[in-house]
Amino acid sequence: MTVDLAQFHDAFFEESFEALDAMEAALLKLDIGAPDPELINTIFRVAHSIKGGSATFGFSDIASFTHSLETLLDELRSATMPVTVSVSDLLLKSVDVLRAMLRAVQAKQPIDSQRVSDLHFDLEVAIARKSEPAPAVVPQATASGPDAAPARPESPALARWRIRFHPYRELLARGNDPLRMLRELAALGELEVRVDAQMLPPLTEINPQDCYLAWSLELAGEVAEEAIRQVFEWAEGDCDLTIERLPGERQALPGSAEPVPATAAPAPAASALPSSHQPSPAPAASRADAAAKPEAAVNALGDSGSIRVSVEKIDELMNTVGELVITQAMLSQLGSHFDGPDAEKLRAGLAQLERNMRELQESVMRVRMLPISFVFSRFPRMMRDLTQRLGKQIELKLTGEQTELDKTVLEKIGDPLVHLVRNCIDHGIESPQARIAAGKPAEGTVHLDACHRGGNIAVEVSDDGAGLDNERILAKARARGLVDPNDTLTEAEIHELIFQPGFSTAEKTTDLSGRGVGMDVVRRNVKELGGKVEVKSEPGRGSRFTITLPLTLAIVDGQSVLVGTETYIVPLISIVESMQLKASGITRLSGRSEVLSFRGDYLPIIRLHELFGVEPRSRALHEGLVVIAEGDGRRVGLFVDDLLGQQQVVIKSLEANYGHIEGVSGATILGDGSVALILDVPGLIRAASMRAAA
Amino acid sequence: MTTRKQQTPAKKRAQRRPTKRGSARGRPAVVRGKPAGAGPSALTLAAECTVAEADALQSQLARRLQEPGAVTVDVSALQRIDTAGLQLLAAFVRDRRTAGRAVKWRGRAAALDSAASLLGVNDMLERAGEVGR
Amino acid sequence: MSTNAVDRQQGADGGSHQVLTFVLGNETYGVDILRVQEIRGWSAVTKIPHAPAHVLGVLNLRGSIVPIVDLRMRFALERAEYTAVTVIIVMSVKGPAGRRDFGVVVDGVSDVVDVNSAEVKAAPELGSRSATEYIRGLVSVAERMVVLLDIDRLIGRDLALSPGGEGEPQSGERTDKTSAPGSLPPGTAIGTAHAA
Repeated sequence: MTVDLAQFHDAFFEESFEALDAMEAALLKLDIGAPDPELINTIFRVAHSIKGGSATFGFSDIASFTHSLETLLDELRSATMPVTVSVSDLLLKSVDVLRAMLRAVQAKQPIDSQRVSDLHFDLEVAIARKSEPAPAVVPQATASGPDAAPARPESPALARWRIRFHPYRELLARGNDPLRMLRELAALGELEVRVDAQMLPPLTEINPQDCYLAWSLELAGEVAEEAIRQVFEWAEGDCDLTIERLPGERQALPGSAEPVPATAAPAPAASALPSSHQPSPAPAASRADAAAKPEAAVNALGDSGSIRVSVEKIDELMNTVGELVITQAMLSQLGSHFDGPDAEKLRAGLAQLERNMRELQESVMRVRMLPISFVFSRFPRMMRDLTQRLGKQIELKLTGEQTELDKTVLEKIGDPLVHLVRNCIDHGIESPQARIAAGKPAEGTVHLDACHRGGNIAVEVSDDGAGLDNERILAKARARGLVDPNDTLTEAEIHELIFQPGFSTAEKTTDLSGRGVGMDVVRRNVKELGGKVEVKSEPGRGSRFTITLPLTLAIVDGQSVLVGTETYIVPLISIVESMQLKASGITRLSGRSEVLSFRGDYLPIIRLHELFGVEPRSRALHEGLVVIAEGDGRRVGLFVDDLLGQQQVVIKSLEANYGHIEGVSGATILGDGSVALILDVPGLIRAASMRAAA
Repeated sequence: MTTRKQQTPAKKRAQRRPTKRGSARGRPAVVRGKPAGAGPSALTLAAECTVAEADALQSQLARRLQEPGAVTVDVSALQRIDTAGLQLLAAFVRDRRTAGRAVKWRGRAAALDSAASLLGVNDMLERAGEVGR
Repeated sequence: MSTNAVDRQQGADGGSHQVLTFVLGNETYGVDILRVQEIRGWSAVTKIPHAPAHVLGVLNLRGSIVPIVDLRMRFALERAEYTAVTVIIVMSVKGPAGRRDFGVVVDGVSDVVDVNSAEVKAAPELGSRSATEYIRGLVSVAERMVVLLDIDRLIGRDLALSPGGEGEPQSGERTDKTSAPGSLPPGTAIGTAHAA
């Protein structure tokens, strides 16, 4: 039997991908020439922890690659090598390669070894090159540093350390073993171990996967504090750890002058520590200060005040809460029929229950919410790569990064956004020459903004480029037969054309737009999430794409409408307004199809009772109501018998046991336990127009 | 000899704990074939006594916890042990000692020697005089 | 229950197995008990647009949305009124996309009987338009003939038929049995030809 490490792989991958994102972000912030040591520390720590993790799990290719990366980073950290553009590029490429390696390992697929070894070679070359004298930024020579090892200017003096290591209960379950750590410590120097077993309960009360032991250790040897911390790095957040230096022992003892094994401590701290960390022992205060620094960097990566919970568990919780909401609604409805002495109390209790339920639902919802910065963070890098390649000058502005949305929505919004941003860079922003000629600054701006609007999140991608070229769009649409040559279209209708399948206005296919992804895919993806994409554009001034999405896929804000005896839910996101029709506001086109006049437009009327085959209360349009709804950039009037209330409903799948229904996105359970269908407005519009054509 | 009672708290705990440990639970018993010479009262440790087998090890030890007279723990098959395993052994020895019952050791296992001294639990295990055949 | 139950039916050809019998008109039908999730009383359903006529609508079954099929209409029997004693048997079928739950409206549930597989007789061939394709066999229980249904074929087909469903090709032979108002001619793209 072997320890099943596989159960920890997921956590490792997840943490590593997050760490790489942080590393990439730090790299992009890095000032060439005058790098912030904090940032370099952050980057270093990422490489180090990935190395540690991959070594633990036996992903040797990754471990060996990160080892070289770490060596290079150590040079930067100790400022023996300047941060140049080429180094920064090299590091960014390393992030890409690491991501690819991790993905390959995760998917149990072969690693692209050519790509890895090429970059590995580049890293090695860069490391080797640094041994040639670097101009200007030669580090202050340290008296005690052996000349033979310029990479490690400071050899830590012989020291005695007291280490208190108090694992949290769950340390073992996270795949950490104190035994491994103590073994590593023992390899650093002479180790004295005292175990504290006070917390160890009687055998039968032990939870075998919990750790009850704590240790008080003394380590003597040529060891820097950093090296000790690195031993515990993988357990960070799962234990309390204090490291303090004991006075004395500055002179090397005759017997223990062995050099530190290279594998055990790859990079004792150099620039991270203030210069007081020199042969003479520093006062405790400044030491604590020095130790706090790398910790701060780590905290930026993974806050120890949080726990990791699998999405399935949260989904389970969401489902249960959804059920509770329904039960609560049923009870409330029942309660309203009660009479008698205690009826008031009952209703008060039910009202309280309802408030609590709403809070509970919101709290659970919030657990799934993540800031959109998780998606935004990939754009600085993309911008940098693309502008370099296209010879454009573009500033990327990110705002509203802290706007939160549901994880599942977040995961799916990435690709559409990438495409929109690419589109802005590729087609929107002009070349610097063209911009100057147009009297604009040479540098263009692409702006990503996110904000909450009602129950939705709106993400805008705007640029100050040339805007959409209406004539070219129209010409292309005509050439492709999307538009009848004699049709005249409004500007908005022309802009809608770019969302048609297969439409692309790029005169020549660049490698950006030549990926076979068009705006139609963007729209389809967004629509699948129950959202919409709109575009506004002004020639010469730029264009603005707005994606509006529900905050979560689990619930929807809806308007209940009544048709005959059936209740339907129309998502509020699709509703423009609701109105009563006067008989005079309706026109019949060519005998059959009815249109209504709305804000200067004629909108087709969809009679829901006809489309869904239900018997309505009234067929006379002026006796019912019309809900003006919008989908795919088209507006229609939905004819219904009555409006009921607005409410948040939990979305249930119809497809789990039945199948997809055109014009219906799902179902929900109403307060009385009955089922109501949730309408999909774009689907309704499609269904109605097919029907009209038939 | 064996009382069901002793097992229940541990079992209950295991049941309360969800997922993550699924893989560790319900594995086949740890006890392998008894080496020749192991008497009827010997408790033979399996080759692997790590966190993955800790549930089984715990029940194995718990069954012998109240046994009157000395229990001999045979470690000769042991190949690998980690903190989780040692922690259980330490609790076993301590609990028996506080009840005035002895634990004897039989066989040698390098893994146990190194792990116990690294974790500083040699004293707790009272192995000093007992090691050897 | 669940997938286990679904898998069992295939292998149930040897030995005896339990069958839940129910009455529909003058006939007694049986389904493998392992497929039955629960039996519940009638409650109003929510209509599904463009559904075949015998798919009455959907119900909330402890939080999941379950389609309800009227077997009388499915078998082109005279339609019965739904009353407080009308019964819905909720079952699982195995479709190409995995397990699906659905409810069938029947006249009444009889009892659970043991059926020895050796006693099951094949349904007689009654010509091309027969319903035998979803009959697993006939068995005699206490002087009564019980028609054992293959619900995977009977209902799985309906679910496949549902718009955007699993797309098993539909055959024309069914339509004569289900020609209630609003049902669709075979092969029609649902959603375009629905008559109000």
